[in-house]
Formats: sequence, C-alpha cells, structure tokens
Amino acid sequence: MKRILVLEDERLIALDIAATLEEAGYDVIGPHGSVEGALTALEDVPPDFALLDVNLGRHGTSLPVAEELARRSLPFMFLTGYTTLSESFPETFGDYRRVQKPFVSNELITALEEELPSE
Amino acid sequence: MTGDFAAPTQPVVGIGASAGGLQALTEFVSRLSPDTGACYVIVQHLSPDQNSIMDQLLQPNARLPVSQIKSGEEVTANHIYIVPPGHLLELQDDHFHLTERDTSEHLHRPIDHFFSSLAQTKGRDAYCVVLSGTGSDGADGVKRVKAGGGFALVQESQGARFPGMPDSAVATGLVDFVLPVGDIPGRLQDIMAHRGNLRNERLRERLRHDVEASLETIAERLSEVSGNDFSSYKPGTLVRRIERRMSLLRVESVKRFLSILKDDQQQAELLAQEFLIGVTQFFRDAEAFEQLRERVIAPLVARDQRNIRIWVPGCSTGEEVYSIAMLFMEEMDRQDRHHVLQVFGTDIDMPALVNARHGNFSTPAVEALGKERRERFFTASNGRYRAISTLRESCVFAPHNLVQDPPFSRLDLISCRNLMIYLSAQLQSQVIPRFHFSLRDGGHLFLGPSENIAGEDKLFDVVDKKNKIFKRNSDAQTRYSALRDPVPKVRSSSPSRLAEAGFSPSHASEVALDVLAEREFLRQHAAPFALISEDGNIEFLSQRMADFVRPAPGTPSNAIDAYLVRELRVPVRSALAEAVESGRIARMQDVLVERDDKLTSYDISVSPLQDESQHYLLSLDTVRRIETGSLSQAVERREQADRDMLETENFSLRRQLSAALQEYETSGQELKSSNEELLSMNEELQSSNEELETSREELQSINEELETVNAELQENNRQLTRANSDLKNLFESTDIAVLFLDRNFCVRNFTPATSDLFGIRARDIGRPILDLSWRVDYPSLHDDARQVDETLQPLEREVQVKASGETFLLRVKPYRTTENLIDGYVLSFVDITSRKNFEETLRRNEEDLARQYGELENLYDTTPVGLALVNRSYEWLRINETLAAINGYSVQEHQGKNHDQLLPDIAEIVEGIFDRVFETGEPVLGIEISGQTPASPGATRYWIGDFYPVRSNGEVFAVGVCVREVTEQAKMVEEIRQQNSRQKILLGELQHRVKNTLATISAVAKMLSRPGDSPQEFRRRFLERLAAISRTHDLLTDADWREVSLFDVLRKDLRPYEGKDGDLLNLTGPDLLLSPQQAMALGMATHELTTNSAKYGAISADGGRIDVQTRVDDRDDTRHVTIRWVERGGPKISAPPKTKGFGSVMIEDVLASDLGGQVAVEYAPDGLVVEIKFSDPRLETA
Repeated sequence: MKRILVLEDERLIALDIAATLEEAGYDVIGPHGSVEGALTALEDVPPDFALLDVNLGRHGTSLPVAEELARRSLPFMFLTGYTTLSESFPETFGDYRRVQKPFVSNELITALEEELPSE
Repeated sequence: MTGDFAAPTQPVVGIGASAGGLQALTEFVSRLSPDTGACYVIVQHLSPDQNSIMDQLLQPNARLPVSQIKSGEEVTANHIYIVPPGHLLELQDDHFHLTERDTSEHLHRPIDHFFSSLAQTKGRDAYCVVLSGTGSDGADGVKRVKAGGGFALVQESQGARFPGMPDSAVATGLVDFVLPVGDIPGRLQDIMAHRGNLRNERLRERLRHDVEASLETIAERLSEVSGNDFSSYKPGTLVRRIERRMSLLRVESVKRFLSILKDDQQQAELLAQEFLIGVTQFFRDAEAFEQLRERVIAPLVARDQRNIRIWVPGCSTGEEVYSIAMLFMEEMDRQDRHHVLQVFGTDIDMPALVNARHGNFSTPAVEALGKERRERFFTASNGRYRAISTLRESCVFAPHNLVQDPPFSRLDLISCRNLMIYLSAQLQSQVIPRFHFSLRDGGHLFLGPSENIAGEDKLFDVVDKKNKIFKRNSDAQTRYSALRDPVPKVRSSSPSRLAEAGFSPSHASEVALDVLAEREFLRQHAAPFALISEDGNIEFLSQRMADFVRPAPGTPSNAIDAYLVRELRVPVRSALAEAVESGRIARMQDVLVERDDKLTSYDISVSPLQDESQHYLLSLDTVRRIETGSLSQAVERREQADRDMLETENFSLRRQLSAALQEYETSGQELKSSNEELLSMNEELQSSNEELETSREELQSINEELETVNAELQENNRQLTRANSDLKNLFESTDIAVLFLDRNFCVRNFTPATSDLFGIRARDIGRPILDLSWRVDYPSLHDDARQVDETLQPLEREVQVKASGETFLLRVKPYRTTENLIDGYVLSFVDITSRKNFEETLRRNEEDLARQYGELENLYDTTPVGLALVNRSYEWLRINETLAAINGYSVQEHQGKNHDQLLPDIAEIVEGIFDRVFETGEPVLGIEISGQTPASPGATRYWIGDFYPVRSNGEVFAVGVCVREVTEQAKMVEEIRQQNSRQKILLGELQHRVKNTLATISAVAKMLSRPGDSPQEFRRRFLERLAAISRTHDLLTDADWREVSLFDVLRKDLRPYEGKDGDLLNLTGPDLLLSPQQAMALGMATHELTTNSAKYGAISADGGRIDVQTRVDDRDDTRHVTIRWVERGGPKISAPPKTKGFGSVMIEDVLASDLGGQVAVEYAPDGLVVEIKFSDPRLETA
C-alpha cells in the first residue's frame, strides 16, 4: 500500500481527503495540520507521495515541507484554493501539479495516480 | 690698447645684426673664405626665452663651422660664433665669457656691449660690422672700436632691409667703409691680409720709421685741409692712426700714402677726423670729480658772485661739460643759492660739437649716472636720453682751437682733462700760461690724471696732487699776447691753391726759345757786362764779367766798392756818376786790370738802360794786351790820369764834406730836440699800447664769447622757428575750436574751426571778444575767468548756440607762458551735440530696459517654478523665491553659498548634473530628484529638474536650473500602487476562504451521509449545517473578516432556542475576540452542541440552561484560554452514547485540531460538560 502524506490545516477537509484516499486504498500518513507535524512525520516514515495544502492559515504555508520533499526527490502535489491569477506561486514549484479546492473525490484520485511514479 | 706697432694678434670680427639680419648674414657668411685666420662673432637682438636656430640656418651657406657660443670657450680662428639669446658676450684673454642679460634694463644693447669688449681686448685687431636692423645699437660700439684703433664696416643702407642700425653707425662719422653686404667679407680679408704682412718685425720697424719721418709733411697737408695744426701733437698717437689708415687703403709705402693724401682731399679729411677721435664719458674718474666738488665747486657756489664761468677745452661730445654743469646745479640746490652758470665747451671737432649742443646721449652712458641724476637731468626719447633744457642752457658749445685761437677770460674753473696728453711738451708749455691768463684770481685748473702743469710751477699752486686740482697763483704774471704767439696759419679755403701756383717748366721753355738763343750768344761772345743800379749796387753779372768780381772781406755786399776788383772800383764809380748826371753814355779809357798775371787795358762804358728801371749797363771792351816793354809808359799815363781824376774827386768831396758837416750840425740840433720829443711820445705810446693790448685781449675774449653765444642763439632761433611752424600746423590741422584771450578778453589767437563757428576773422585779433557778435550764449565769461584766475584749474561748462541748437563743451584754462606765468585764457569748444542726443537716447533705452527688467524680475520671483543660476563652484548666482522656499532658505541666505553648504542631502546628485552640463554644454532635462531639504526636515520630497547651459562669449559660465515640485503626485502614485497590491492580497485571501469554505461544505456533505438516511433527512441535516456556517459567515462579514466575539458566535447559535426570558444562555468570564478560523471552528462546534442539547440535553427540557465559562491565563509568553460548556436542568444522563456521530467528530476531533488545543467531553449526570482549552498569544479579550 502506498503511503500518502497529507498536510491540510482545515481538519474537516483533511478528514475528507484522508477518507477519500483510504477508500481508494491508500495508506494515509496524518493528516497533519502544521509544517512541524508533517516534517516530523517525514522523518519517521518516508511517504510514497504527499498532498500539500498551500495556505496553512495561521501556520503559514506548506512550502518548507515541499522543499524538504523535493530535496528527497519524493513526489507530491499541491491542493490550493487560489487560481493562478490571484496567487504569487513560487517559481521553484511551478512544475508541480496543483489540484483546485474544492475537489471531487475521483478527480483527486485520478490526479494522484497520474502523478504517482509507476513501479 | 696695444702699443704703437704691437704684433698683430688673432683678429676677431664682431658682426651686429637685428631686424632683416638673416638675409644679410646669409649672404655675408656665404662670401667668407674658410682660411682668413679670423674669428667671426654674430650678435643679434633676440628674445631671451626663444631658442635660436641661427647656427643651423647659416651652416648650409658657410664654408666655416658655425656654432653657438658656450661660456668659457676659447676663441678659435676660422670659426663663426653666434651669441645665444638672452646673453651678453664679452672677451677675456681670448676666451668667450657670457653673462645673463639683466632684464630690469629696459634697453638691450648687446651689440654695443660686445663691440666695447672687443675694442678693449683686441685693440687694433678688432673689426666690427653693422648689418641691417632698427634702432641705434652698434653705433656706440663702433666709436669704441675706432677709438681702440680697430676697423668698422657697415652695410649700405640701400641694401639693408632696415637701415636704422647702419645709418646710426655711419652717423658717427667714424666708419671706414660703407659697402653692399656682399663686398664686406672681401674687404675685411684684404685689410686683415695687409695687417698680417706687418707680422714681419723688420718691415714694421721700417714702416714706423718712414711714417715718423713724413709726419711733418702729413701734418702740413692736413693743416691745409682741416685748418687744424697737428704738428705739435704727440707723434705716437698720430703714427698709429696713420698706419691704420694705410691698412685700410692697403697702402704699404708711405710715399704712396702721401701722394694719396695730396690728390684725394677726402682721404686727408678722413685722416684729420681720425686724429680727433676722443672717448669721453660722464664723471670719468668719479673720485676726482668728488674732490672737485668739495674743494672747488662748493666754495665757489658759497661765494657772492653772480656769474660762474667755466671753460672745458677739448670737450668732444660734451660729457665732461654736462658733468660739471650737473655738479654745479646740484651744489646750488644744496646750498639754495642761485648764480648764473656758464660752462663753455670748446673743441675743433665740429660734428662732436653738434652732438654736444643737442645733448643727446646713448642709454648706457646715461644709465651709468644712476637713477637720481638721470631723472633729474635727462628725459628719455626715441631710445636715447636728452639733457633737460635748463642743463643745456647753461652749457655753451663753440668751435675753438686751444692752441691757435685767443683764450676765454675771467674764468672760475678750467677743466681740461685728457687733452694735454695729446700735446707735445712744447705745446703744453704754451697752453698752461694761457690757462693762467684766462682764470680769475683764485680760479682753479682741473687736469686729467696723467697730466701736469708742464713745469710752469710758479703759475699754479697744487690743491690736490692726486686728482690734479690746481689754483691760480695771483703773484705770477702772464700776459697773453697775440704777437708772441706763432702767426696763426691761415685756414685754406681753397685746397687747390698749391696746384694753381705751381710752376710749369716745360711750358716755359717752349715760349723762350729765342731768348735762350740770345742768352747763349751773350754767354759765348759778348764782352763782359753787368747791370748796376743808380746807387751803385751790382744787380746782374754776365758770365765773363764774373772774372772781375772779388768781394771784399766782411759782410757780403754787392756795392761796387765791395764787390768788383780793386782796379775797376774808382773808374766804374766815376763813370756811373757821370752817366747818372748826364743821362748819356759815360766812357773811361785804358783802365788797367791785372788778369792771369797780365795787365790788360779795357775801355769802360756805362750807359743808362732804355726802360724806367734806373739801371745802368756796364761793359768792358778789351783794348789790348799791354806788352811788358811799353808797360811803364802806359802805367805812368794811367797813373797821371788817375791822379787827375782823384784830385778832382778829392776836391769835390771836400766841398761836399764841408756842406755835409754844416748840414749835420743843424740837423744834429734838430734831431736832439725831436729825439726828446720822440722819447716822451714813445713813453706815452708804450703805456697806451699796453692799455690797448689789454683791451684788445679782452675784446678778443668777449668776441669769442659773443660768437659762441651767437651760435647758440642761432640754434635756439632755428628751434623756435621749427616750434612755431609746428604750432602753426597744429593750429591749422585741428578741428577743435580754440580761442586764446588775453587778460582783457581781447582775442589773441584762434584756430580755423573757431572762425567757422563764431565768425571770428584775422582782423578781430586784438579786439575784445565781447565786442564781437559771437553766436555762443555765454554771459558768465568774466565770472568764469575770475574763477580760473583764483583756482588756476581748468573750468568746464556746457554752452548752447541757440540758433542752431548745437551744444558745446567749453573748457576754460589759464594761459601759461613758457615762464609759467598766467597771461590770459584758453577757451576750447568741443561739439557735444551728438553726444547729448546719444545721451538722451541712451537714457530712454535705459529706462525701457529697467522696466522690462523689472517685469522679468517680477515674473522670475513669482513664477511657481523654481529658478536659479549656478556657477562652476555650485554656488547660486541668483535664485528666485519659489526655489528658495523649496530649499528652505531665504533668497539672501543663498548668496555666495554652494549646494554642499545648504543642501547636503541632494548636493551630490545635482553636482553631477551640473558637471555634465558644464562639460557637454548640452541641456539635461526632466531629471527626477528626490531628497530632503531644510524646508521640511525628515520628509523625502520629489522634484523634476531641467538643467540648461548659460553662455557668455560662447563659453558656459553657469547652469540655469528650473525645478518643479512633484512630491504630492509621487505620494499619490505610491498610494495607488500600495492599494493595488493590497487588493491583490485581499482577493487571494477571499478566494482562499471561499474555496476552503466550499471544501468544508463538501467535506460536511460527505460526512453527513449516513446509510439509511432518507434524502429528506440528509437534506435537512445538511441545510442546518449550511445555515450554521452561513451564520458564522454573516458575523465574520459584519466584522469585515477580522475578530469576532465568542459570545456573539454562541448567542447566534442559541438564539432560535431562547425563550422569552432569554436566560437560556449564561455567559461568564471575559468575551474573546476570535480569528475567522477560530470563529468558524467554534461556530460549527457550537452548532453541533446546540442541536445535540436541543435533542437530548438541557435545552430539550424546560428550565434547562447552558453556562459557558471563559478564562484567560497569561503565562509562558502566551494566553491560555479555557472555555467550559456546562449544561444543566436537562434530562439526567445515565451513560454516554454508544456511537459517535458527526457531532462528536466535529467537537472532539475537528474543533481540537482547528484550535490546536484539547477538547474534553464529560457526560456528567446533570448534563454534558465540554471543556475546550487552547492557547493563542495574539488572542484579545473584548
């Protein structure tokens, strides 16, 4: 089972994502609501993939985690409420996929599967 | 100076050239042959700071090496040297010596300087050449060279580009040759070759001997030509100068030179001129002059004597005369006494006298006098100095020969320096008594250092032996008498007289051929005869008659009794007496004369000549030779005849004797008385003769003086005439109207312009000006004249000619005579009509300009744009008030300050721009500047500036600045920019929230769907949650998505359940201001708790209520918040519910997670208790 790390500060949304992933047969790490939690989790069990909410509200953004993941060459994608117009997204992560909130469950899974490296 | 016939040394040729000299020099050097044995030195006038390439210019044309002189270099033969610029050259022991030119001397005479040195060191081997140039440099040098026995050659002024220097040199009268420049080298070489021949010692000796031997002949010839007698001059000097002239003419034999002198009068005059060369200078031997001042001049000036008379014989060009005159004038000033000073300067050198009278001297000569004397006694003109008129007036110059002409008399001082050395001892001993005669009692004689009073010690007492000052000895008697002196030689007015009087024998012989024949016949064949005068003197003897002559011893006489042989004396005397008496032929027969030991008998006849000459012819006719036999008879007869004759003669003689004795007796008496008369007469005559002689001497002296004064007056008259004609020309050429009035306002003179203006005619001269109808309106003439008289200052006044509207500037000046007396007025009128008009126009223009300038100035100051002018030091030249206000200083405070001093904050920026404008000359426009100025400290302000160049004479001298303040606009732009970015952030936030909200709703929808629930049930539950989210949203929207009150969130959810009392919800503790996220989480949790309570808890029963207690603890740098939800009065709870529904998840999981805290749920029997704890450092209480 693939381990998917989820970073989402809105707990309700996080629970929804976790439920969607588990229904699709993935093992969910978290969901974590803060950068610190996510980084600690990364140390414990390296995930196969990660889903990162960009704006973590009062916890800032998920970019530190994204950087760490990129450093470890782990695949991930972003969840975001912003459109490209209204957000200044860092160039570094311009190549990573972004999934718009609110998402439809099977769309999220389809995107995930496309991004997951085949074995 | 070298000795009379010193061996020639290395010849040196000095060549002086100036303007136009290059051309002449090039030609000169090209003609020089390379082996003349001479050294050539070229002196030019060159600017001291300019390098000369003359050597390079000349070298290609010269066959000799050419180089610039280095100081200390040895003089080398066959070499051309050039004096470097800015240096003076001297010769010392055959080495060149350069000295820096003294720039303080305003006149630079390098040629004179070198020629002098040349003359001094080389003497007769000095040669000087003067080529083209302006000015008079070289002329003095030529004099020096000539005085030293050297040679002077000058370029012909027609060929010279600038004839000033050659003409000045020629004007000295001492130049040997004036030639085209191309002929000078050849002539030089000829002269040097001739001089070279004299190296032969023997030859030289012989030449000298020859010259000395012919000295008298030469002097005689010169006396004819020049009227000066040089025969008494010292031979040394004369010989030297004759020898020099011979060199010049390339004549080697004295005989040939003599013939040249005879034939060529000009050559003779040149030689005479050469004999007269004298070199003189001011105060020659200063110490002697100082002694003269102290011992002679000062006491003389102190005396009460009106006239002071001084004589300087041999004055040459007058330096000694002027020196003495200056000493006297200085002494008179010092003692403040004023005498009439007359210094007579005499010489036989006429050209020198002309110079002396003019008082013109060369610059070096006068500058040696020192500044004080120079300024007091000389004025500079045309590069020379001229003695001032008072000095010249006291000096009188006249031609006079000390030896031949009568001397001056009643003199106080005679200064005769360096003249006697030229005179022979004999001449000196004649001159000294003349000096004694000329001086007053106690007068002084001042001689040259190597001169003395020629053994006439009794005539003079020594005053200063060293400096040769003598005092006249009054006890000694001298008498000047013209009779005692040698008869002055008559000046020859016609030099060809000799030739006319010359005897021409060849011509005479042709004429007298027949006479010669007759004479020969008489000599051969005629009887002896003689010519006898009436009183018995033998006047002529024929050849044969000479046998009958036997002069008697004693004083020779040609009387019959003392001359003829004894036997003839008596008969001839008798026959002559008879012939005289009768006037016919008288005969005597048988006169016996012993000849050759034989007696011969002659018949004597004496016949008167036919002419009127009272001569008689005596002839002897031989009768026969008497033989010894008849001799005694013949002798007896002859003796008888002689005795008769003797007796007769004796008788007549006795008679004559007694008559003569008687006559003698009477005439003796007469003679005795007349002798007595004569003796007394003689005494009278002798005394009157003495008187006459004295008066004659005085008259002669006075006459000399008068002649001198006359010459002086004539000169003055000539100058006056010249000045008068100058003035006349000035009068006629001037356009200014000038009117000369005398003190009675009568017209004295006027210029032609005056006659045009005022109608004054020549006939009006002498008439009062006020009587004339002059057009000028000038009533205050009398008053103005009085004022001029009082102040002696010129007075100016504008006067009008009403008729024509002309305006004149009238200047009234006092008329000063040459004696500086005021004798009238000079009125000059200058037409200033047009000037007046110009002035008026100018004034109007100035007003217009001032008004326009004022307008511009006003505009400049009031325009809302800042304007300023800034110079290269960044100082404000001017600034308007607008810019001054921007800068925060007053306009005055800007004056003379630069940007660094007043605006340090922006100085660096604008100075860079100023530099650019100054450098490029191009304007720099629209530059944005920001910074702080003292006008509003601490606030950054913004301007736009234009910088443009301001030129004067094409050069940028300032930068004009034009500044507009744009601080407000900049502020607005900045605000808009910030607003835009804020809006962008806000939009992003809004999007984030909307999307999150939608995602939340989506999650809620998924979690609410329970298996078994009907769609209606799901819809109800979903809509309730949606309504709760919406309520929280409303609160947040009301609060502008900032903080929301916890109590508001609680009340909103519980409001649908509140009864009338409104006591369902009991809030204690501080209200909390929640962040939107906290509010959302707590809002949803409250909704779940409320719906749960309404179904199962406190709200479901009457009287049930809910306490919400809040507490905030501040510790560990954060706020710990506790919210307790306590339900009471509801149904008893026996056990917690078995399954966890959506509400539990929302409260226990989602709320805790979203707040980052803990949520504890206790199912207490009295009701549900939920305790929420979280910490938030930023949380505020309401």
